Amino acid sequence: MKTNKAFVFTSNQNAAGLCYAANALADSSTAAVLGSKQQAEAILPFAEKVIWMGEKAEGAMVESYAGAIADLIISEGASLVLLGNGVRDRCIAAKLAVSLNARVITDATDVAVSEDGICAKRNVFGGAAIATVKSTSALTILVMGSSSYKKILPSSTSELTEVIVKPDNCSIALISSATKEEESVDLAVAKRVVGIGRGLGSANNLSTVQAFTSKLCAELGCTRPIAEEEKLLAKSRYIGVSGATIVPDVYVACGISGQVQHTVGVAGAKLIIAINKDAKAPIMQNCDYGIVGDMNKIIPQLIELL
Amino acid sequence: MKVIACYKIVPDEQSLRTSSDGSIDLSTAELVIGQYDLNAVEAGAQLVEKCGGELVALSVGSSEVENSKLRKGILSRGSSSCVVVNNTALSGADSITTSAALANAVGTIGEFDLIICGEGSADLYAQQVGVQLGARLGLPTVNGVINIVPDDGFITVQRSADNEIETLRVELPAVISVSSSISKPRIPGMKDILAAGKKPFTVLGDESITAVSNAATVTESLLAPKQAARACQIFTGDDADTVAAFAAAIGAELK
Repeated sequence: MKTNKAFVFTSNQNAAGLCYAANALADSSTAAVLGSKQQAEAILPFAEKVIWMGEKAEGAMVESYAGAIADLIISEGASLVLLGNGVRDRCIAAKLAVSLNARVITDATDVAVSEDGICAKRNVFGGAAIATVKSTSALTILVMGSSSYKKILPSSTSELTEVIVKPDNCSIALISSATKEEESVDLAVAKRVVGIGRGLGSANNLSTVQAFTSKLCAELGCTRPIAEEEKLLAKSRYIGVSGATIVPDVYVACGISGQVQHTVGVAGAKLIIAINKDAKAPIMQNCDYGIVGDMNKIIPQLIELL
Repeated sequence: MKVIACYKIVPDEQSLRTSSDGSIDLSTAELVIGQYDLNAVEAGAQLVEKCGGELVALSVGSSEVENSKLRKGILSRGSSSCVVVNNTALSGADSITTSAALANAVGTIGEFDLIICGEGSADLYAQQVGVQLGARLGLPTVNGVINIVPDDGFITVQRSADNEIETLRVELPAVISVSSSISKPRIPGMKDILAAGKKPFTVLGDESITAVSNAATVTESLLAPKQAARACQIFTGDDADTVAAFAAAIGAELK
């Protein structure tokens, strides 16, 4: 079954994807767009009603429009609000939850609407468990990725509705903003991925792994500590519960023990190959082929042999 | 500067047991301080060490908040006192209930300059409570903070927001959520742990909580993730012969 009305807002580029989810979950959908009129018009085919909120004011943060978004949600009479998975959308979701007395489910997957509420699954305990949660609130906010939704278009569309809004008064001033220089890789689409963990040892061993990765025509990924603590690779290369979820044909885990926070991100791999010096590491029970030994001795040999 | 750092006592994910039906048993799990909350406590400790003032640790939950080992654990990491709310109604609370309870508890602490939360709890990781708390208190609030520079009446923070790095001037008092990359939590020494036992630890009860009126999100089930059955063909050794046999086996799959 479907809920009455869904309202979509996102600060990132994938408003259309969220509209597909809105059309799947609700009888009617409204999308609100803050940006250029062209950006708003581009969303017209994807939602029953599209509201253009006007251009973002110079120097304002998108998060400062939470008050204006809340007003639109009320006037639209929505029972479900969809936002994207990102730092900004999460911030907006939290502000909306308080001002509208709504419940929030973040990182929601497998969303289902029933008579008595909205159910979703989400990873908890760092991926060691999957919780099914239910909101019975009159208004539920879902913070979610939209990639699992097929292209579902609304039964009807309409002309662009203009509701030009202003940002909230805010005691946070944006001094400067710069696009991250860190590389951005989409591991989710890679057919082959080589992952590295703490077993790499010295950063000097990285070049050998990179050679191995090229030999396999694979992308390079890693565990959270390699990206966040050692900062050896970009965060977009980190695989696991709060990082990338990958579905390659082949995943080669090198020097990775296989804690659930990481393996939850590679569960969809067709074939898992593990190289690890510890025979008791959990990855050895969760791979198709494993070799117990020093990855820094094994990988140079594999480059020659494969 | 008076800083409040919020933390949550959570079941350690490493110690979760899965029952035969696939459900997760939380009752036997070991309790720990949430790992991302330790980043918040450390960031708060570094701020007061740098510009003076005091750090108060704050947690809401049920009986776990009074765990004596974790009480010392939190008080040995740079805070001068700790306030906890122990209310069975907060067991398994969602973000809205938690932020409401924190907002009430903050009211008992009095004046403050800055509240720091971790990026998310180590158990539910909804990444909501910090900003919700700021919104409830009607204060400037922002998430994703990776650096804090204190100043007179304001802080300048760097924020990692999706594909951008922002520099923001945030008027105090304020509530921020910090990213785990902001700090490396300290390991307390024996002296810190001994001193922790003598620091003020205040337990608040039910009277500090106002019930949140609307329906909560409830957890209907908690299951271990299903793992695909894997062949687990294991080769042992990094010598040439073993690696050659391994390469032959995987080579067939990689064609």
